[in-house]
Amino acid sequence: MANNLLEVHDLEVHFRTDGGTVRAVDGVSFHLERGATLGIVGESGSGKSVTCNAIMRLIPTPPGRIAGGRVLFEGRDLLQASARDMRRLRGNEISMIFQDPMSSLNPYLKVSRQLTEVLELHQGLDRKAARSRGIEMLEHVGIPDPARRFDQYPHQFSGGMRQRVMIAMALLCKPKLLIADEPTTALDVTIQAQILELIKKLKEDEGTSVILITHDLGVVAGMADEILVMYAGRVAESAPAADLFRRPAHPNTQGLLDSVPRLDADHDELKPIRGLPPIVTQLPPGCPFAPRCDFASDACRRDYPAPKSIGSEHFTHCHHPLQEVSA
Amino acid sequence: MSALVSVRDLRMHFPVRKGVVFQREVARVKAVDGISFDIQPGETLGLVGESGCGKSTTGRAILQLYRPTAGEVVFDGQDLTRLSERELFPYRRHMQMIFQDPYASLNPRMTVGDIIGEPLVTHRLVSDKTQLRRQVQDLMVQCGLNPQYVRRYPHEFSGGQRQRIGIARALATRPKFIVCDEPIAALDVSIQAQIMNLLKKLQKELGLTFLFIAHDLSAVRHISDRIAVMYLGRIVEVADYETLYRDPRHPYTQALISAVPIPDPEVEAKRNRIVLEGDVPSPLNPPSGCRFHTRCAARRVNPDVADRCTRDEPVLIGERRQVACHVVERDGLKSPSR
Repeated sequence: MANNLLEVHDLEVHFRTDGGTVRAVDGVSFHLERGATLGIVGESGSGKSVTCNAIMRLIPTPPGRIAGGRVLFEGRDLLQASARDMRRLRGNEISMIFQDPMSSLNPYLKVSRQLTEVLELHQGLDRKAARSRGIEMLEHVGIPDPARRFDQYPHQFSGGMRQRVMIAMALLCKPKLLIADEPTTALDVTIQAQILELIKKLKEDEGTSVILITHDLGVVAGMADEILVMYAGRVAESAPAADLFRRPAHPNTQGLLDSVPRLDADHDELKPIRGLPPIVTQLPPGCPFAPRCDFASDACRRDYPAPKSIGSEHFTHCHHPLQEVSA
Repeated sequence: MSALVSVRDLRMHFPVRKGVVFQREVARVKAVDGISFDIQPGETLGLVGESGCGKSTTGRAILQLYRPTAGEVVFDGQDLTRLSERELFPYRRHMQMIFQDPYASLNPRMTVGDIIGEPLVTHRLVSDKTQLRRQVQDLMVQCGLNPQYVRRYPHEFSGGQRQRIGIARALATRPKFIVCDEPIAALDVSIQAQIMNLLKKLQKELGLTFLFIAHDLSAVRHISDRIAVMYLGRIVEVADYETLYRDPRHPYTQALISAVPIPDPEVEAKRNRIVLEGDVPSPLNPPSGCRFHTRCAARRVNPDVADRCTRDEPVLIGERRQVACHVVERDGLKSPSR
């Protein structure tokens, strides 16, 4: 599969805690084609952020440890790369934006300094060239009066504008992969719509591949080509976006869809997933979703289910999938 | 039927002061600036708007947690704004609040039993400890908490369970009216639905009246009889959910609805999204005339009313469904919006 920008095989990330070893990511595999968008969806603690931090090699060690697997970026295994190579890659070929733009910007430094640093470091631009490129980028992400805003501090920007600055910073070096970790969770819906439109437009202009992490199925519905649903550190279901919403096969996926209030649906009861998100130090044997699942059988409580194919590129780890299994 | 809560021209301004000794007032944040609505007994009014639009301030000003700058809040026939703190006390047990953040709104040094029982003790609704314990345990069961956990502390519970503790505390004094201030915004999606269903069940069982505050429309639709949309301290539109969703009339409501993503790629692909430009202006210095005119698409395509929009503040017109917009006022409420 030469067209894959990123391939992740059997990724394992463990954390040592007082309560024992937590397998935050437990055998996760997926791939991302060039120019495509992958949505990773799950409740808090499902391992979606840890997966992406592992790709960037940003797992704090100790207590964390990437215990196994391969992360192939353009065919090169990032888990074997040297610290120096990783530094060259981060912010240059792979960039990341985070949920809370205030805590990811340095409050003591002007936006100008934070933007030009990347350019001087990775692309060897001089101050003047970096400055004009930085202002150009602010304009590109839709910040009004960019030349004046360039010399302001992060606190002088609103939440939506700060997220634009983060995106500008992430895209300065024209990365091949942008990882967006809940980029709109802290924002109002109208601002969320602005930011999602912006990411979509930049993706089309620059051909950047995107991994979008979110707990909101609505956000990925309009953005993603492929969707990965995670539960307790494992892949519960993986499918092309349209197919996942039309034929959800894992009860957890169905549960997530049922518990989101929809603007356009008829007025009816919400069907929540019962119980609580799993405590990762005390996972049950077998399928981790079994205690909350309406269809759980003895097999579910005993064995972790092998993947079952539901359709083209669509598979789920479930003993009793809600859709017919294809050969 | 007379309204349980009646708000008339409510204003809540916060002074901005400068100086060390003589703190002179240099400006005023007009968080809520002249809003009126009624809530009938047993009804849920949803109050929706973006951060900083004044929706939480409205909730707090109704409960007299902030004393309003001007206007009336009539609860059960009594104007609360005229009462002293002492005179307010007997009313407080009838109006309670559920907060957004289930982490910050529970005292970490009190047990769950003490938290839920405190309002009962404060309002002298129990005569002895056995009665107190029994009532606390009943409340816990009613809110889906295991009564054996009565001696545990808030940190031992998950977010959803903490929100249940907050709800049990609000219910303790058997109130008539509860302000729910974004009670599900901080919770995981699967848990949000559990809490919404619990609130609906309790409302049915106890005949509660709710003011339900949220920042997006999908969150309030399942619980609200009517929804009021706020923008910069003013109400711009009021209607029941179906009407509001099928035929939003105020340009801001239209933008707000189109911004909410729908979890279905096929629907998403067909939708026509109105993306608002820029941010909400500062309530320190709101735009003249209609506060929405700086971001309004309808004003741009209706040059004949554009002057009025920048000059005169529009008022709510209509009876059951109300809209405050010069363009809608010119065309009439009955005419189709598109």
